[in-house]
Amino acid sequence: MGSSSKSEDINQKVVCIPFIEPESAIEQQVIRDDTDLPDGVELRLRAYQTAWSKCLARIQSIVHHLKDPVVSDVVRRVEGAYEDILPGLPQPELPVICISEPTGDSSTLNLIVEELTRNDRTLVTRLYPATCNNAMSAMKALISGFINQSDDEVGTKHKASASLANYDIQTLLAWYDALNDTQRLELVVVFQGFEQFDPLVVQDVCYICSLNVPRLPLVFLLGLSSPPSARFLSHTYPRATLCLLRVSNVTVPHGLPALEDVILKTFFDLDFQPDIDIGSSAFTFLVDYFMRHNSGIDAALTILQLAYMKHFEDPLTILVNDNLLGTSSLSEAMEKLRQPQSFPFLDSLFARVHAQSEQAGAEHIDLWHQETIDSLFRSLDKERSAFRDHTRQSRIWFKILTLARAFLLKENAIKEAPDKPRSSIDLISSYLDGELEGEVQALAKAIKKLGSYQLRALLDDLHDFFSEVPASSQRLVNHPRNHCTSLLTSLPDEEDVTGVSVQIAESVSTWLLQHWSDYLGNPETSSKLWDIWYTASTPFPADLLNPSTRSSLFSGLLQPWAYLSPADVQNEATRYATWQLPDTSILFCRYLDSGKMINVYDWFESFVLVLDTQRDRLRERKKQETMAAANAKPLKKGTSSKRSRSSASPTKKGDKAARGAPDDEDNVWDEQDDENWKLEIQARFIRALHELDYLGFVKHTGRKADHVLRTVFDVAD
Amino acid sequence: MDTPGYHEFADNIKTLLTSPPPFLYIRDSNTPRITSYVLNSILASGENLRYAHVDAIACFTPRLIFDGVLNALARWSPRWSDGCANWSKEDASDEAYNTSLGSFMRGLRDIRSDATSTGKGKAKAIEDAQMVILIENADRLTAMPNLMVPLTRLAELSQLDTSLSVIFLSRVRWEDIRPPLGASPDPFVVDVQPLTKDDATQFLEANYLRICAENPCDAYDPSFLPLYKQFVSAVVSINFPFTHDPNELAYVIAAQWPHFIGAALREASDEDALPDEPTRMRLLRSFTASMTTAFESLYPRETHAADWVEGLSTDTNASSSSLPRMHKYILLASYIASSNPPKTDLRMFGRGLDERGKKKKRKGGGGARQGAGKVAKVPQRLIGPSSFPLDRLVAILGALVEENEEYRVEVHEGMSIPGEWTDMEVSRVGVLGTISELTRMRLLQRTTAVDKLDGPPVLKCAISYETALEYARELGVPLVDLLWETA
Repeated sequence: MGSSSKSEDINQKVVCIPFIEPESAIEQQVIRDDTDLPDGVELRLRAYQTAWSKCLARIQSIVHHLKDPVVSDVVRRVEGAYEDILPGLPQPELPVICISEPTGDSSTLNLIVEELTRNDRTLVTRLYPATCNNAMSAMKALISGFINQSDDEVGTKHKASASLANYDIQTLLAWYDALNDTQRLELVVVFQGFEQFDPLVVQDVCYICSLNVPRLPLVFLLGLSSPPSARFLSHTYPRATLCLLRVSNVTVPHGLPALEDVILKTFFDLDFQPDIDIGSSAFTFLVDYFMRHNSGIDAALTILQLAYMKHFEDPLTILVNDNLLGTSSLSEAMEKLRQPQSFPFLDSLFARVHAQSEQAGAEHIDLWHQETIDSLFRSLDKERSAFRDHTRQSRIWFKILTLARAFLLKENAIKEAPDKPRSSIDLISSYLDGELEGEVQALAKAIKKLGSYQLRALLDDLHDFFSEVPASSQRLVNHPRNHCTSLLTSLPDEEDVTGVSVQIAESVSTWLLQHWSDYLGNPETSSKLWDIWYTASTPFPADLLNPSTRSSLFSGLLQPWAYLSPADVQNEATRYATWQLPDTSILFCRYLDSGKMINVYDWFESFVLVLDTQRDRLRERKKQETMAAANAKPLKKGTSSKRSRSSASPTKKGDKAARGAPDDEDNVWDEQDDENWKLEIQARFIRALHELDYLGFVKHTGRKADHVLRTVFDVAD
Repeated sequence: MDTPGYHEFADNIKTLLTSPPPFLYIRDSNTPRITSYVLNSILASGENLRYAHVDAIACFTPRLIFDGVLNALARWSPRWSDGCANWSKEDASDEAYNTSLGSFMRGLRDIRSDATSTGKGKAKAIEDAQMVILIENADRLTAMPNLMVPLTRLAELSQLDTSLSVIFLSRVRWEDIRPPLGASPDPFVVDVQPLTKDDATQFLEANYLRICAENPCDAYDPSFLPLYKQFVSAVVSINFPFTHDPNELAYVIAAQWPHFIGAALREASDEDALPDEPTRMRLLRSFTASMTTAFESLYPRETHAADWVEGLSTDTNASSSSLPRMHKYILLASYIASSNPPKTDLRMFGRGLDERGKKKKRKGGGGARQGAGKVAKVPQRLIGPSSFPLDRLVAILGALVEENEEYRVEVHEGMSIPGEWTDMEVSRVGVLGTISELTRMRLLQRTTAVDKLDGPPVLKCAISYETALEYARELGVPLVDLLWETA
């Protein structure tokens, strides 16, 4: 009811009418895994939130850090907009700063505005395309934006017509002159989404403002979302307007370099340990989507978030950080596992922990019996720390790999194709795919050939790196660092004649190669329960993010039960007969059978045939059901049998829900006269036809009133 | 005040102002800004004269014009502390002057009478004073047709007759903006002659001392004037064929002078003295090439003068690849759709089933064979982009993607029909979203209304041939082969 009253309110721009499912369907909503804990879904959702917010906070701080230089640069430019003006210019110019954020979001602009608002040397007002339909509204928004910021209410003393118009730039001048500040405040006008402003309006605004600079120290900030190469300003605005402006361009870091920074500092940084590590399939999708569709960090964030969400579908992921299982202490967690409802979960956990046990079969069974929950928890902790250690080691050695690679490239010891240099993203990609072998071999080979000086420089670099490893990971690099030191001391200082350095180069190469192959291999070998912390190659749910409208529509129409009751379809791969489908799908099936033009009457006839069959079948089924119910009545098992049957024949349920057919339909069937039935068919036909029309499958022709044109052909069924 | 090249004009105006015509129309299609400046100076120095200067662009409603004119004639500046009140006669009625044309004219009359009642000695002076209203960019008044005619006959309508004169200053001819049906009287027209090369040179030279006074710095010292004159005449002789506007030339000179004077001072033997004549000539010669390049980049404002001085130039290629690939494909497809006639699509992209998979050598069609006596068809590139429906864009996009895109994500196993994956790919939500995003960026232009649901949206390409070529190069698409009319 709330929604209907809302929809009548003309001031309400958006009305949300939530889908309320019939009660019978609610129980199917949560598709529970058999091996899950009773409250597993909620607990995993909580665990997901913790994990994701940790990752998100990290990424946001990185992005913030990336944008900081741009923000301070713009603020500096704004503050110096009216200083150091080039002498000899024919007229005063209006300073304009174009901020290109090709990613489409305006977060940098917001940061800049925030910074400028804090600054007591500037006043900021924002203009939006919707409020600037013409010069009057644009000027009004601009002027009132500033004037309303001051508490001075003198301007309202006179009646409106006896004073200057509120869209008159003279008002702003008078207001500005009255601000008896010792220092001149700069007036910053921010155009949010500049491309969407009407160029004619902006031309006039620029002209009017330029007439009054520098008396009014205005600065325009234009938030652009088109790439800087498109040169929106010079392509859209005439020279006459450009002459009035002093344009400077600022581009926010974006694209691959920004993504590289985010990924490296989030998933390959020694200071930060994400709860979940991203596997190759999600990463490949991320890079592909980023390069092809949307090179915004926000898009990357969404993909990572989805990957996290998907990851937490696995019941075991509840153990991602600890063994508490949502309780406050370990003893309570143990108690929880001892409950009979938790047994399937416990079983699956035991199975996983002992899956690849090296013990022989008989011993294994004994072990199974001896295993207590306590020891299970202990082995879980062991696995967790083993996996974490392995990922830390991987990060360290991946970093060393990039370090060595950069060093060798600098020394010209290895070369890469000049037209296609490998970026860090490519390296990460091959690492996650387990295809670093070739790269590692090439590096090891090049290290072998290094001279004494180069080797010393490389070892120095490595030593520095080891010493800078954060304290949390220091214990993991103690040994390599000592090894590095000993290699450095054994390296002869002078030009080598004895061939010692060749030997050392060889040993460095072998040492690095050994560690690289140990730690840059598959993380899946590091722990039996790796899939709790690593998404590996779980397919990424790409269709959630970027579905194909066409194919989704087709599959929705052709296989409606996959959407209406997915649980049933998952269990049995049955194909439904045409009469079992909803009306729109029936009509669509007939549509696919037709030629280029469809005679609507023929279409209707074929529809009637199917509906007749449907009626007969349903009637038959009802009869059988009533008979069965009559037989089973003494046993009182009505509810369970009903449910099993209703899931076997979803049509009935779906139809009822969709069409609102009366519940006691079967009793009425016999008495219903043909007239009513025909009317019902016609109504259902028209409704289905209109649905197809609305979806764009039908095109009307002016020539033949009783024919419609098909718009879709060659549908792979 | 004496602006070179404007002596005759100034004399004419001064003579006219002794007994001004009620409606004067000044046309200057070259340098209206300078003319406006000259007019303002003449009017400001005029004795026994009150004038108002309003800009029709800045005063985009009648009310703004009324307020601007009345306040200026009354020499009244609104103050914030008074609530920005407009000028009004002390014992005036409640009705404001800016509500209608009638009240505006009452305001004009009140300005005169007010002066009479306030001060005796002064009153006489103002009673006789000539009132002049100068309206700059008068061509914009056509947007306010109800105001245009009354303004042209304001003297007559306000019953101020000879003591009020209206001057229109515009780039366009009176004939082009004249209200229909002879509603306006014919004005006294003055055409401003374009400046000659000498005038322009003198104009620029005359500016130098002003700049020196305003900006005391190393590059601008009064002692450099002789060198500046030489530099200006060199710049003018090179660039005068392209623009006659001294302001534009001044802009180019402002960008180059610091470099030039820097080089000259380095060359000079004595620290404070200027270099000798042969060195100057050599320097000027070495700067000749840069004068042209500077003009080419500064005149269309591709670079700003301040950036030019600092040696910065806008790097256009630096981030050209910042667009994701699908964006580039869509823009390319839009370019092709806008350039090729729809009927040629099948010939350009169509393939038989058997031919699928191998590249077919396409041949650009060339121009249509031209029969004798037929009017030659104007090439599409000169006509501009034609519009196309969304479906066509998606179809061409599919053809481009199918042939040129390599997929990183493995093709799904179930997809056996050739092109099925591409079909999926180009009908994704992301692609449709991208199209509307590009429309928002104005890289694509939508020609149908956004709220029109009937029929597919119609779009138009908004990128240039050069940009399209660049995207094609980045994507490896043979664009030239895909265009029906090759350049």
